[in-house]
Amino acid sequence: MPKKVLVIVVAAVVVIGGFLLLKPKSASPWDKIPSYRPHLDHASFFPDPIASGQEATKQCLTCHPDSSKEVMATAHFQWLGDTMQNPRTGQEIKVGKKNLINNFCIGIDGNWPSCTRCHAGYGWSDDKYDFDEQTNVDCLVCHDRTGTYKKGPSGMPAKDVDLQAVAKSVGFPRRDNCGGCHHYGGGGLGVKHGDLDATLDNPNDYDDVHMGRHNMLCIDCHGGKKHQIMGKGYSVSVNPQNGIACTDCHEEKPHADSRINDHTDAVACQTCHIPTFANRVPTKMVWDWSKAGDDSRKDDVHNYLKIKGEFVYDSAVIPAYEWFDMTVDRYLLGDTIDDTKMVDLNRPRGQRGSPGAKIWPFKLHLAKQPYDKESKMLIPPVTAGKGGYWHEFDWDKAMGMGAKLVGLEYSGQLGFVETRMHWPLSHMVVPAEQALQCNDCHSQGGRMDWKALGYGADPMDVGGRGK
Amino acid sequence: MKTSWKLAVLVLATQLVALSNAQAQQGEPPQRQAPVNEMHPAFYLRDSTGAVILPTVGEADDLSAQELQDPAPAPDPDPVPVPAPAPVSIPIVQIDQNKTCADCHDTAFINSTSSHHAKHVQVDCLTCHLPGGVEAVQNHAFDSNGKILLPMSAPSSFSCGSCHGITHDLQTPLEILPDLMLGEMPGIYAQTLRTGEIYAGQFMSSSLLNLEGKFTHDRPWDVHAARGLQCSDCHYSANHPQKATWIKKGPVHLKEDPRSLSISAYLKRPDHELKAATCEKCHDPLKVHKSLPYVERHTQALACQACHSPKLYAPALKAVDRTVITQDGGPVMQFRGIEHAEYKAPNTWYSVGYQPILGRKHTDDGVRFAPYNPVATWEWVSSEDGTPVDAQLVRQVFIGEDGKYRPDIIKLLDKDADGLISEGELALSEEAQLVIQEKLSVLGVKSPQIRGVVEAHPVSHGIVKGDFTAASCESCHSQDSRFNSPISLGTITGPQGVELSVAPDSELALSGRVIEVNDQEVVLAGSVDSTGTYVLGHHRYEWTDQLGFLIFLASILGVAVHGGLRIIKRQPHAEKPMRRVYLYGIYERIWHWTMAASIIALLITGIQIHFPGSGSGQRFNILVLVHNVAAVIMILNAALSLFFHITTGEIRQFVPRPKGFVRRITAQAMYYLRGIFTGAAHPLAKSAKHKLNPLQQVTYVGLLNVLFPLQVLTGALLWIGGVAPQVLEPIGGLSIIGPVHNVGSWLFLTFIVVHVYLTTTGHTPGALIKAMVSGWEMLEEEAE
Repeated sequence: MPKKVLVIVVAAVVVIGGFLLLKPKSASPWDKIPSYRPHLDHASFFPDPIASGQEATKQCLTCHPDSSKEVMATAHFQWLGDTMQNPRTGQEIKVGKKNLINNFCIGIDGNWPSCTRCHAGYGWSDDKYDFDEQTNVDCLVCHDRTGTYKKGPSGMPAKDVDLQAVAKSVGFPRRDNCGGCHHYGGGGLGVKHGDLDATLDNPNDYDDVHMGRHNMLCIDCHGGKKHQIMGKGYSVSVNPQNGIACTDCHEEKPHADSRINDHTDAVACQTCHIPTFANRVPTKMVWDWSKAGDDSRKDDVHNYLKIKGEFVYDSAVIPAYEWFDMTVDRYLLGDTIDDTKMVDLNRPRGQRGSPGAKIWPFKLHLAKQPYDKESKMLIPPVTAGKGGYWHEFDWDKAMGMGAKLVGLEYSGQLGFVETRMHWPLSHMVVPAEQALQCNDCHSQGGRMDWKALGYGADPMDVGGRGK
Repeated sequence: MKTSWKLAVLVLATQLVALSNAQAQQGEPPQRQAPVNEMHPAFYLRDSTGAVILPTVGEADDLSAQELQDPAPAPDPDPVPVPAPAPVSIPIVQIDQNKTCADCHDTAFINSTSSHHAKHVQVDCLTCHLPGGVEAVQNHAFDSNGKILLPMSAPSSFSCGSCHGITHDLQTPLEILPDLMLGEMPGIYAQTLRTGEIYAGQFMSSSLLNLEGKFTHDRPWDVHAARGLQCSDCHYSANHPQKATWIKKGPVHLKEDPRSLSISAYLKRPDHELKAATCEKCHDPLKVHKSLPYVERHTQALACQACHSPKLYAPALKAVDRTVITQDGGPVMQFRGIEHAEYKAPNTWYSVGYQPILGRKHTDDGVRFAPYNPVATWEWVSSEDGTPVDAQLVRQVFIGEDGKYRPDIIKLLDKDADGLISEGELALSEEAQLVIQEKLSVLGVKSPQIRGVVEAHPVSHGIVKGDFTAASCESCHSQDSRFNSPISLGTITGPQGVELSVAPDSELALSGRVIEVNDQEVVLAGSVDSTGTYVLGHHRYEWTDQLGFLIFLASILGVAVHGGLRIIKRQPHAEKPMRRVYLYGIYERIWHWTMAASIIALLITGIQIHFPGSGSGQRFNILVLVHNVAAVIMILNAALSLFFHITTGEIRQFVPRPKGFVRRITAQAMYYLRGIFTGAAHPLAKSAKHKLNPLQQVTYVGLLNVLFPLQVLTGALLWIGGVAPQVLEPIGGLSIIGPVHNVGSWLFLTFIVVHVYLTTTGHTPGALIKAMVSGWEMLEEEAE
């Protein structure tokens, strides 16, 4: 009897085991998420109060000697990232927030103490900042777990922050660490990106499926090695090197319906999976600097500020859709513009049919910003800095100072020109069941301007991109 | 309605401007992008005499007075669009579309075939074919020959919706405006009012409506709209070249007939009899529905929308009294599935939705059950030809130029003399009916009368994808199912003295249904006529269950009494010399227990299929599957066993020996009735050659030769009825087979009770069961 039983058991094991082993493995995105070491409580490592941010960093370096050097090599500290060839001069230059202008607060030169509140370092208050001093790196802003760490002018910790408590609490960064700066870009909550605001600190399922439903962290997608945070923001970057993509975890053609899979060659994932942005917190869509300086108008952060001008905010915004091959034509300081037309500061490259181009969703930010009418160049005025427009309301002075700081000449002929920036969206991804449906694009009332995208008409009717 | 035209014109105008701007509008979705037809040639507008209509021009312009009088000579071979200088007005009312379009299209043919030019409906060409309708003509340019350039197009859902009901293909959230209360038929709410359907691809959760569980409805109002289908994709012109193969029939081997009308011939004479495609033209139900048992039978018996349009959430009428006009200017209306409709804004009404009833429908493939919304309707008709009286005329009788009730109407209807006409006063008394009749006659209506009917409006839109059908088996396969669930027809009493009857068009749909007036509510009760339809779990002959249960109960009682008596009168058995005999071989035991297990599985699943509890849902599938698998196992087992018994000769055990049969069977019976209580010996000794006593033999003859084959046969036919329904048609369907299978199963259940009990009559209660497990039994030495 026992022998018979043994035979049956062995047979069962072979059959079941074989099935389990030979079963095709499903490629699950969960496999791609990094796993983290268990949290080591740092409380016992900081027995004494800490006097300054630099001192905290010094103490971190005693156990993590390489960390500062790692951070200093990255764009978070340098505010420079991509290397590109300046089409005008032919020079190879490194570009980043340090030397590029945008159409929000425009440029950091002269305004360092104010802008560098969000620098991952301490004390960048002028153009003589020591980028090689290791203790200038701010460890706490990313690693704080108390939620109380705040940075003030020049990136120094705010006066009322208990640095010792902050140091004791350190761990790997969570959403509010990144969000402390990235959700408040442009001068306030949700102003700049449109798809990044404090909604993402504690999102629900529909706010963002990764961060909400699955409680994922920024570093789960943006993580890298040696403090090299992956991912490119196209306001300060020009190419996709070191970037991240949905396909890092998800398959290229993951849909059950093959008709949707046929779209992925021409349509970015984000296009269908981010139906609207700025859903809960309004974002700034238009900024008219030319209206600034009017005493008769009342200050209201969402409509008009004397220092800044007039704005338009909007929420639950339907994105603009354009071709994008992950590179942009970037406006660089010193470039001349055609002031009869709208100036694109970071025009996405790519068209229907060009290699690597897909239709992406963008937030378009329109602005009217100051320029030199004679030289036809955009000049970054000094605004927050000493003697800047926000204090003296003198455009000529602000423009003069600003031009000098970046090595340009200001002729005194002030003008305001319409500019536009493209902000590709990748956050506030909704769950699949809420993604755009066929008729959201392919209908008379749909969101796509087929002619502008280079199709004669709706490609559902006339055929799409041929191979 | 007028409002929507103006809106459409406005939208069209802004879209024309936006189109010229190459850059995408930032942040704003493009407005309706009507297909700009550059192919349709410019043409002359003509009036009813055939003369050309030209725009009335303002001051300086390119057309001199001379050219105006003589537009014909030397047409410009390369006409340039000349924007009409403002102010310009085109006398739209003068346009005779039949004459205008007849320059290129055979309008006589079109009108003769058109379902939109029959009976009471006279829809003109531009309403459907010009985005924005007739009034949009104002926005378009004439060329230097005096011909107008209009972007003619195939009708879009938007144009159909202007008369047929709510459609919505914009990115803005869907809403229902208060002009719903005007109850216009036809109008932009018509189909929605009749059935609660909305043809839109937008998610229900994105609308402005107040729906129950709104955020669980992440699905479009209609999945076809979401997939980009326009009305004309399914409601197509009969001679449309692209759809030619949909209509043609031919030899069975011919997959497609490539002969079709040339485009020019089609455009000259497009057949405006619109065909409605059936679901099967595009979908193959047998390739999906993996979790639905007996797909073939379901698709034969049910229209697809019975499950795929399970619940409708827009306000649908349950009762409408068009014989009177309310303060809002529309008829008295009551809605289904709407709670709290006190506020004027339909967006605020809390909608729980409603499930339409099932009724019979003629389809190309026979009669099927399809969903309907029954509505109690009272309206004025011209009794000459039954034409409903135009709502405008009825409104004119009640409402004056100032938009308020006419004083004589107030006097007529205001019973409590408070100067207002409240809800309760809106039912016309006999006297009031005569007065209104008179007034309508004055307005030109020929012999106006009131008609009170219950109309069943078919539901065909609002289609959902699989996950959302929420189809549970017991919505049909239960005692109270969609076939017989009563549905309210509202609390409107209607005009006095007018009885509600079933409308002639709805007789098939409502066959078997009864209109009941209880107190103040009208209810549609009764059951869809069940002739020819036997729905497992819904239809039953009560007496089969009652009889079967009685027999089962009797057996339980009998067993209880018998066993109880044995326990009480426990007598020690007379000790006889016993020896262990190997009675049951391994195979015998295997087939016995396999039979037992499969029959028990069949009974357990069968009783749950017969009496499906609430919420069985997915379990029903599993029950059917297990039942079928157990049946197959049992049949195979029985067949092998039969083979075994015949080839080994064991079958002789089952055949009673005729000699002395009556004596033996009486003896055995008396033993069970008396002897067993007194500790008497078994009358007939058991041995390897005689394992079955005569009573057993008789029982098994009946069981194995009558009951078992009958049960298997009826079971097999039930299964065939599911997968190949046409086979059962000649033998009359399931209505006999079902009850027979039911009675058989009660008898099997009884058998199990008695059989198990009788196995306790061995020399110990467990001896016989042990024997059937081990094969060895203690038998008395003596053999007969």
